[in-house]
Amino acid sequence: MQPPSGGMPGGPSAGDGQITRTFTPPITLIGTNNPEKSMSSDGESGKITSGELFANDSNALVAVVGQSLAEKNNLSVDDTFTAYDQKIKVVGIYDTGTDFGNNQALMPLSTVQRLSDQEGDITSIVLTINSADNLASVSESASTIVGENGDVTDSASQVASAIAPLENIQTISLYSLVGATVAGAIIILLTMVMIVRERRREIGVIKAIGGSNIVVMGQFVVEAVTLTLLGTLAGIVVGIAAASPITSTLVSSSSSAETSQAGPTGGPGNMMRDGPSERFGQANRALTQSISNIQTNVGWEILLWGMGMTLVIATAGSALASILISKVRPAEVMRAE
Amino acid sequence: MLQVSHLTRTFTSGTEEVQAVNDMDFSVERGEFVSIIGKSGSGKSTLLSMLGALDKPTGGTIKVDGEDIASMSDAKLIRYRCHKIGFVFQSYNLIPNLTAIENVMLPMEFAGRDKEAREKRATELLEQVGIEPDQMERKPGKLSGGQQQRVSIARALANKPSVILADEPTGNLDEQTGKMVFDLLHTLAKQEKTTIIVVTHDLDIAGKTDRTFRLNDGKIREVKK
Repeated sequence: MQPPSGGMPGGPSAGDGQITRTFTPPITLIGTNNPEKSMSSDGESGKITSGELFANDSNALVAVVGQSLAEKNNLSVDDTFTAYDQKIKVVGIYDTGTDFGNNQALMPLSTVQRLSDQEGDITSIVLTINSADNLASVSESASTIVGENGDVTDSASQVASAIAPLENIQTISLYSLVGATVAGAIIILLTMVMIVRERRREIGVIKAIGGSNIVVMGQFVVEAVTLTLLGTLAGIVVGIAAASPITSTLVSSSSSAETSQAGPTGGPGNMMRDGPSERFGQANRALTQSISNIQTNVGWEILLWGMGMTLVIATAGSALASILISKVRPAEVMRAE
Repeated sequence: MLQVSHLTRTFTSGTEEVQAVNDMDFSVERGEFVSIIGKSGSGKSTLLSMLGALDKPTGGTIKVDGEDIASMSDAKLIRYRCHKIGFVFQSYNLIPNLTAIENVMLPMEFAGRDKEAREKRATELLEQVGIEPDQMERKPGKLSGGQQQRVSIARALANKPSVILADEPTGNLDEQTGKMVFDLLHTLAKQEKTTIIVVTHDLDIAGKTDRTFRLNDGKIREVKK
């Protein structure tokens, strides 16, 4: 049987640019006791286009062939092909909607184990639990049973992996908030110091014509609070407008980073996909896609926190300004003349 | 009446003590127009600071209407500056963000007068010093030097002070404008019965005041005319 595609891209070449095939890519043959689920691909359920599926507990020499593989080898229902020196009958042809999914054949699990001398061996097994509450205990039991012979992956760890970008965003946001608050406080403090220095003469004049420290301080506190509140309002407007795009960008870049960190899956050297892991992968991709489409909302609670922080910063800035103001002596006005 | 007795002010410069004002005695009657002349560094500004309660003397007394300002608490000094003293500075020192009328209203606000009374009094004073109604709403940057100094004089008169202290009030003005400002101060001193003490370098102006004092090395003596 031939694989649907020709030579492998990027393989060795000779002559007038003709690609010379140096090896035949393997055909994916999956032994399964749940053919309906095994023909799913990338979250899409496969469907039988002709013939029928074999029974879950079948041990006959039968196969369900993907559409691309069937077309390439001119196979239709009731035709046979040879595998493991045995004539295998095609009982159905299916379509998953993807080339990758259509390039494989499914056979009963016990038949494949028998023909390949792998009695009792399996690549993967899917456990379906009755409640999410039992996930951890089932996963733990499965790990104990499997021991060092395999890995147990549960959907919780997949979800945890998928929401990792959100946790990264949360960490970035928290550090950004702390950084912005500290920077804001420093800017306000330095600005107030600068303003008091620049207006030293004015402060001296006000004191000289009968203004008390409290009067001058009050003026600066009002100025600081007003400026900070105006800044806060501008920040809130910009923040609300930019929150969603920034979050999407951060989630997107964070998701990409997570994916590339995990390494590529599939590819020419990995034609045999294990069904359950792939299905977890599909769920993971769907979850990641949902997270990528995340929308942000700015609630009243956040706004009130922001305003509260603003007032704290403004008060701190005003307090420093007040200390500086109280040290300005009105006599300095006369000396500046 | 302003009475100064044994007034002393000492500054420490490094390890050295400098006597800016040294055992000074003089008195000025209410409504008198007095000038103080002297070289730079003779102690003119230090004396004016102490008379205006901006600085405290090292020794001696300054009595204004019988009250010794040298021994007043800081809170009392603020009230004294607000109610009894008016300042006219060489560089006007108007508040740049306030209009002319707001500048004149400011000392009255500190004195606790209501807004209506402040506006009425400020308008009267600005008219008195020759500021046009449209100029009253202008900020200092939009007024000439002479106009700013007239606003400054109106501000000094706002709370009907006993004493107006003017530090080189014509120093930044041309001769003609300077003469107008001086005449204005002279007229107001007579009209409002306010004591005016002017520090000046201009001997012409000093010659036109009721009395002139010369300051030299922290000592004061009256110049006989």
